[in-house]
This record gives sequence, structure tokens and C-alpha cells, in this order.
Amino acid sequence: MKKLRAVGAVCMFFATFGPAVAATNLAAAQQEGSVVWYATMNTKDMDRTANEFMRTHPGIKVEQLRLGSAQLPARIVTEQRGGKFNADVVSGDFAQVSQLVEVGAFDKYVPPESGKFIKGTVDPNGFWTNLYLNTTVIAWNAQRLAADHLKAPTSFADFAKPEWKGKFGFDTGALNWYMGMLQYDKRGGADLAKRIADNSPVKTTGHTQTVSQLEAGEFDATPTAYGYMAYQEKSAGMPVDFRNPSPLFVTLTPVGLAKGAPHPNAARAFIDWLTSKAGQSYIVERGGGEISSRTDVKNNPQIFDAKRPFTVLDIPDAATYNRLEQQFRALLGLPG
Amino acid sequence: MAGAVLILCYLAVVPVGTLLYASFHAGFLSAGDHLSAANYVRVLSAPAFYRLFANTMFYGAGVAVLALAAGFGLAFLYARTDAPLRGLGMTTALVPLIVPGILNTVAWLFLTSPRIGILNSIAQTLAGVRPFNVFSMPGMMFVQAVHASPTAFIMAVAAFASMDPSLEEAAIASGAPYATAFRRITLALAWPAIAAAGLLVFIQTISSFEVPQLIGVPANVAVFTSQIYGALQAFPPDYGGAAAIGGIALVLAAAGVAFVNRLNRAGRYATVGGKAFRPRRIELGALRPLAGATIALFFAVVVVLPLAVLLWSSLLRGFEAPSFAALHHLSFANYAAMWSYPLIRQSLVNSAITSLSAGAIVTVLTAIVAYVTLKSRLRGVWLLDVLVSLPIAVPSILMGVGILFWYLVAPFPFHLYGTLALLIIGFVTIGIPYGMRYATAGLAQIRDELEEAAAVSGADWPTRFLRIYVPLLMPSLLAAFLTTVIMAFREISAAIFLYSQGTEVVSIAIFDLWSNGQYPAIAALGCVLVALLFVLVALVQRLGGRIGLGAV
Repeated sequence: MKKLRAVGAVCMFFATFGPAVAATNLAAAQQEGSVVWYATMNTKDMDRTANEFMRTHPGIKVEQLRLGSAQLPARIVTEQRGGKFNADVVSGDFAQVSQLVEVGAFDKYVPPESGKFIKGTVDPNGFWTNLYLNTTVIAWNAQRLAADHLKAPTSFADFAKPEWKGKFGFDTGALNWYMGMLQYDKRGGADLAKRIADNSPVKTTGHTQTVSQLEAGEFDATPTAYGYMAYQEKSAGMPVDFRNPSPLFVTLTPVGLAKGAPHPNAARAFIDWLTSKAGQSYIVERGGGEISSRTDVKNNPQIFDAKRPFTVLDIPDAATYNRLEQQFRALLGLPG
Repeated sequence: MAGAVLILCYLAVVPVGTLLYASFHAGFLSAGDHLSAANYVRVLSAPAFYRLFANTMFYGAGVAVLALAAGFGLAFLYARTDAPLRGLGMTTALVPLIVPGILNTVAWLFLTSPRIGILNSIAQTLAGVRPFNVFSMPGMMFVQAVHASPTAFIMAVAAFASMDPSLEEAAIASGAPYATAFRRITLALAWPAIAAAGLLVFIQTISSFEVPQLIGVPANVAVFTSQIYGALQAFPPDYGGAAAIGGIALVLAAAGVAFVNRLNRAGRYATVGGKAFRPRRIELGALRPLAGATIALFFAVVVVLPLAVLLWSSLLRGFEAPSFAALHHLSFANYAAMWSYPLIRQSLVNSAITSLSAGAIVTVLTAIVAYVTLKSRLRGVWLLDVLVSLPIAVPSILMGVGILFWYLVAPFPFHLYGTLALLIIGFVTIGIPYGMRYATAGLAQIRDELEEAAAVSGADWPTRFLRIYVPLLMPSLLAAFLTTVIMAFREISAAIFLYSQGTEVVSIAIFDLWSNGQYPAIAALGCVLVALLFVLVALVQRLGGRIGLGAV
């Protein structure tokens, strides 16, 4: 009962002083003038999101550095070890962000509206809040399928079939796909992953590039596309279509405050906006169609429908991550 | 004067020194950093390293052989025969010197990718086969060789032009068949140039980032550059491993440079005396059409195809092979849309700032240092000579890593990390040996009497330098400036380690757009860039013509 009362008191505090705290932050943020955002989001969506923030928060410039999901952790750690604290706000794939948290590259910051998020999409230790969710879907190029007389794949198992040999693309950075396969079905998943990897996929680097190559006709389909990206291309009239497979793997893309951020107030103001209803709605509706994990923001049901079954991937510790990454690279025949 | 010398020593020594320091320290950039050979032991005892080593050697040597065969073959047709279309030879050589390597790589991916490659689509229509697969070791060699062959061509033309034709004529007059004269005289005389060109191409190849990353990584062919980049992107980053592989590459490159220097110093090949030569042009007779066709084919492969595919892709919203249906989709929309990318706008400004600054700094520094090495009678000048040529033996990717490491840990009261200054430092360091070549060549032609006369008349050193040497050196200085500007505009292998938010240069923007799958934007940016660089070259050539500088 005492605990509950304490929580209630904290809530009351935030309810009473929340806006005041934010306002103070904003004045200091404007004085700092800029915020440096390191992210793995694709360039276009990052530009749009940053522009919207700058439009609604005059006086704070967002300086952005777009990095591949594999580049992000090394970049931040290298800078911080060299004593060059350059990043203010960092967002990236859940596995990489959790590695960074583990090595102390983040400072704690809980944005005022973190309580509005689905359970499990906010760090209980206070280092990050989920910026958006990604779904890993099966996507295909309808023109290529017709040319090769193939039917659209309905499950991951289709990619292990002989008729698909050499005709599908596979993102060599899609460790989350492999983690999902193992989490969903430890033995069967590993076996299927191996059979798919042995079926001569066209290897690609990065989720965005995978969808672009699919669109260009480099291969007929892929089991490693992000749902919102496939949707974006489909709605732009490109010959791309997709299906949410079962199991549908859902991964977090957390955002947090970098350790030693040179513009801490602007960083907090930016994180506040990114995780606010306005920020999340903008990303979902006009940013790039990414999926929000806020309870009060409506996602596009064609991309993600919370009522249908999905599996949120566990966040691995560093040792598990390294072990799985090595397994995944060996599976694809990539050098250590 | 002393300041310029000090700056140059700093630039040449610090990145290499830092790289070697990191390679001989366990736990670099971590707590418990200590002197140790553990990085080398670990790298050298891993079986994968030897596959990597073999791949790198095979790749570098393969490109060198291909580029030499193409470059020297074309140069021979250009300089020594009466082949038709010879004029195209020089254009063929100049275009790849201007076009950034990453753009060339992207163009060849559009052309020879197994499924979407335009050449494959054409072959499929004509013969029912898809013969090209760029994602392979031969594919990597080909794309890099296309880009590197002009280096071999230019060095070969210089070698052929400075050869005394009377030696050949004497052999033929003594009854030797032409083939024998060619083999025993021409080839023998060209040998140092061939070795030097081969080595330069080899070092450029094992230093460059774009082909191993864009083609080698999907093809699963790892070489030193992609491995070094990979080790620094890994988590936790393997600084020691990357530095140790870098140290090994450095030793290899240095050994190669020493070998060629020794070959040249032996002097047995000198044919340049005090008189000018007019090399005999061989009459090809019935072979003329074949020679002309060879030149035309070379021009088509090196210049027309890559530029045409970029232009074609820049006019389409999504990537499509040429067809009548596709003709209806052509538009200039990408040219309008590309300006909406803040990255593209910013990178063009950054490239202009960094390349012009690097050009200016290299020109001033190398003019002064060339004066010190050639005209001053100071002791220890030889050491300076060694230092300025040091960067040529340092693959640019290692220069990038060395500079990054140094400015991360350097105990300066100010931060250069994350600023354009870091990129300018990188480009200046890489540009110094090229600037020196022009500056020393120009200075060697100026007799000391002029300066001595001025000194006797009471002029101090800065006056003498500015009033006598600078005006006379103007053509060489302009050439040094232009070469550095173009080099800096194209550079990516060092820049990939040195950029940060807001300091992306054009080559980085292209790499980022490629990673993001924005093919039409790359194509449009590529076309704008090529046009811009051509205008720059044309301007400087005109300017050069006015002040007595021939073809740059």
C-alpha cells in the first residue's frame, strides 16, 4: 500500500509539474540551439521527422547522422572512448542499443509520456523508450514472380523449397530475423534458418537496400523486409507487395539520451517530442509509416494490427548477442 | 619555411605513427592499454587471415595486370602508331580520373548485376544468356581495373614519349624483326615505367574502399580494406586487429615502393638526355581498322557505358532496363527531387570547401618544401624527401584510420573531431606526394642564378620566393592545385572514417544513398557531379593555356 501511495505521489508530481519541467527544458534547449541525432532510420524518414521537430520547435536545429545498424554501436563507443562526446540522442535497433546501454554509453532519461507506451516497450531501468516498432515481413516483386512463374511465398518455409533456390534476397544484417526464428521455435527455427541460408539467397546489406533491390528486380522475394518499408514502396506504386507471416516478429527501435550529451536539454526536448503523441502520430502518419507502440496512437492496420498474434523479440545480453551473431554469420558463410 | 617543413613532417608522420602505436598496443582506446605484440600474434595465427591475404594479393595483382595490359596497350596505340581514333585515347584516360570511383562502381553494378544489370538484359534479349556477374572476384577486378587503367595509360604515354627511337631504329636496321626490336628494346626500356605503374595501381587497389565494400561484401570476397572497415564497425570494435592488418598492408606497400625506387635508381634505363625525341610512329597498315576498333571499344567500356547508365537511371523514377516502354517514363524529376535531400546539398558545399582548401594548402606547402629539398643546401634534406614521399606508400584507408585514432586521443585543448578540418587534413596528407611531383618538376627547371641575382640585389627570402619562383612556377602550382582538388572531390577511403554529422562530403553522400537504396538520386547526383567536374577541368585547362600550361 505504501508503495502504491509512493507511485501515486510521483504521478501527482509529474501531473502537476510535468509541463513546467518541460517548459524549463525547452528554454535551456533553445539556448543550446541544436541537438545531434544518431539514428539507423532511413534518410528520408529521418529528414522528415527532424524537419517536423524543427518546425514545431523553432530555435533548436536537429543535426543528424544516419548510420547502418551495424555501424551505430561501434561509432558511439569509439567516440566516447576517445573522449569525444558528440551524439545527444541515439536511436537504433534494440539489440545494438542494448549493447550500448550495457557498456554505459547511455544516460538515464525517462520522457514524461513514457507511461503511455505498451508494456515492455519502455526500459524498466530508464535508459530508453521505444521510438517505433519494426515487423519483419515476406515481401515480393509481383513482376518478377510472374516472369519466373512463381507464387508469392506464404511462409518462411517456402524459401527453403527448391523452386526458390537463388531467387530470393536475404539481408546479411537481419540478425533479428534469426533471433526471431530461434525464439519462436528453438530447434525447428534453427533448422529452417539453416535450410533457407543453404538455398543460395542473394545476399544484401541493410533493410532499406533489400527492399530497393527487390523493387529493382534483383530477386523475386525476401523474408527479411521491414513491413513499413514494403508498405511505403507498395503505396508509391512500385511493383512490391508483402504479407505479415506467422510468426510475425516485432522488434523495438529504442531512443535514448547519449552519455555526456553536449546538448542535454535539447536532447531531452527532442526525445520528449519523439515519444509524445504528436511526434509518434507524425512518424506513423507522415514520417515513413513506422509503427508506434504508444497505446493512444493508431497504427496502419495493413502494417501492424495489435489484435493479431505477434512475437516481440527478447533483448539479448552482450554474450548472447555475440554468440547469436557469430552463429548467424557462419550460417550465411560470412567471414568471422 | 621552417613552419611549412614542420607541418609537413607532422602530417606525414602522425597518422602512420598512431596506426603503428595502436597495432602494438593491446586494449587501444580502453582502460589497461599496454605495449604488446598480441594484435599481430592474433591476426597472424588466424587461418582466415591467410585467405584474406591471398585474396588481397590476388585482387591487387589481378587489377594491376588488367590495368597495365589495357593502359600500356592503349598508350602504345596512342603514342607510337598511326591507329585511327587515337585522339579518343586521352579522353578515355581523363574521364575516369575525374569521375569518383564510387560512382564508377555504382554504374557497373547497374550494368552487370546478375539480375538487373542492363548488359545482362541486353544479352538475354539477344542471345538468351546472362553472362555477367559483377558479384565475384573477376567482377571486382574488372570494375577496379576500368577505373585504374588511366593511371597506367598516362604513365605509359610519358614513358613511350621519352624513349629514344634511334635505339629501335638501330635494331631494325641491324636486321632484327620488329617484334624482336619491340621485345628487346621497347619493352625493356619501358620496364621501370611498367613496374612503377603496376605498383601504383596495386597500392591504389588495395587502398580503395568502394569496390571491396559495394561489390566484395555481397560477393563474400573479403580483402584488407573491407576487413579493416569491418573490424572497426564490429562491436566491440577491434581497433588492435584493424591496426595490425593495416600495419601489415603498410609494410607490403612500403616494400613495393622501395623496390620500384631501387629499379629506377639503377639508372640502366635512362634514355632522356639533352635532346627532344619525336618517336617513330609505326604504320599499322592492314591492322589499322582493328587498332581503331580496339580504341573505340576501350572508349565505350571506360567512358560511354558508365556515364550512359548513370544518365539513363537518372531519368527514371525506379531502376529499369532500357526498353520502348521505359522511354515513356523518362523525366527530369530526379534532378528536381535530389535537391530536397539536405544530405546532397550539404555534401556538395562540404566537398567544395574541403577540396578547394586542400588544394590551396597542398600547393603552398609543397612549393615551399620543394624549394627546401631542391634549392636549399641544408643538411638532412634527404630525410624531408623521404617524409614527403611517405604518404604515397600509405594506403589512404590507413591514412583515414590513423587520422581518426590520432584526433580521438590527441591531447589538444581544442576538438577537431567531427569538423571539416579533419577531412581537409586527410586530403592534404594524401595530396602531398602528388603536389610534390609537380612542384619539384617545375622547380628543377629554374636556374639558381635568378635567385642569386635577387639576393645580391638585397631581396630577402620571402620576396625572392614570391617574386621569382611563384610566377615561374605558376603552371606547376596550378596543376598541383587542380590535381589535389579533383583527388579530394573523389576521395572516400579516408573520408569514410573522418566524417560526422554535417561534414559528409559527396562521396560519402553517394555511399549513404546507396546504402539507403536511393538509386535514382545517386544517378542524378552523379550526372550533376560529372558535369561540374568537367566544367572545372575545362576552365582550368583554358586558364592553363593562357599562362602557358599545356594539357593538365
